[in-house]
Amino acid sequence: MASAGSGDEKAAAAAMITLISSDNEKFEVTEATATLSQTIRHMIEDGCTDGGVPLPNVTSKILARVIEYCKKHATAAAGEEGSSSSFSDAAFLEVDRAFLEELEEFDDAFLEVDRATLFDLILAANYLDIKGLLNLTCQKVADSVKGKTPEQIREMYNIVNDLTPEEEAEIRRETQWAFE
Amino acid sequence: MDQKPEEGLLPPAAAPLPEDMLADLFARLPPRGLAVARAVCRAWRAAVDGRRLLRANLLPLSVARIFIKFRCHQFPEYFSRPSTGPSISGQMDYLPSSAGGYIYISGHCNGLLLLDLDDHGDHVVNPATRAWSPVPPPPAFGDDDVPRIFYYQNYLVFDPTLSPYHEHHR
Repeated sequence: MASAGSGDEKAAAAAMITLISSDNEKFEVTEATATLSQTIRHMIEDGCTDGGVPLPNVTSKILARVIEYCKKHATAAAGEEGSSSSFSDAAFLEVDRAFLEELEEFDDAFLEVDRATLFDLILAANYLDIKGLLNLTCQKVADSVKGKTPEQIREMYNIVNDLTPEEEAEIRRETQWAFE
Repeated sequence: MDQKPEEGLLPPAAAPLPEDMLADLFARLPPRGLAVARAVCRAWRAAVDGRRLLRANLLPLSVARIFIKFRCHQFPEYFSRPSTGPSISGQMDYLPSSAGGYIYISGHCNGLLLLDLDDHGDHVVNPATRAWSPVPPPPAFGDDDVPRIFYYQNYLVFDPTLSPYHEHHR
């Protein structure tokens, strides 16, 4: 991409990247979608995406969900760039607001997954370094444990209590106010 | 990426979360949530303690009892919910100025009070133990020729998570 004509830019936007899941499934995505992941962005910058990007930590099931998220949010990012020059235009703001609402609805629906998937999404978002997705999924887990007792949290996330009764008693004594 | 399994966090078919991600999660919790998370399992306790996420919030954030100082009363009044525990009183007649002098609460921090005892100067008091000590007099300004345009004001800082003892700072 030596020259910077508008045709080249379009070509760059349409450039496709192949992502390969741990179970060897291939996903074709646009560069704009893929670069929501900082990890992949760096790989593209280093020019090592020929022949596909292997993602040995992400299963096809989770990768499909991650790509779904990135596609939606890449569109959002492109929309923001497009409208930034005309921010004073009330009509554009109206469109932006509607789009943000739609994006919020998408995020809410996106999080309607079982807890195992939610944990896998956190791990994938962390590995792929997708800030928005990591933020979204972590907040979901944080919200889910708010106001719960330790017993309820263990049950919810299938966590084995490996604290001794003495340790548990000590924790409760240290912060008794949280257990009243 | 090398992930060693985190003990005690095994959702069905889900990989356990490494400690740094747990810490990321917990950073979104209020103190009460953090305190509860510590009681879930060792990995969660380690994630909270490892980042000292709860350190600044080890103390209750709810109001359980208050002191009120009425100008016309010699001692502050102490209000609290009825409790079977050891009683605390605003009747601080164990202090040196009890002979009719007024007590003013000029500062407080995490259970300790900074009191202005009229002509006896500032004192730090723990109303729960009735332990008290006078605030040492400020160091002299030095050269007497310096105009007296400076004065001292005492403040009380007490962080029992650092030390159960208090020190004076100016």
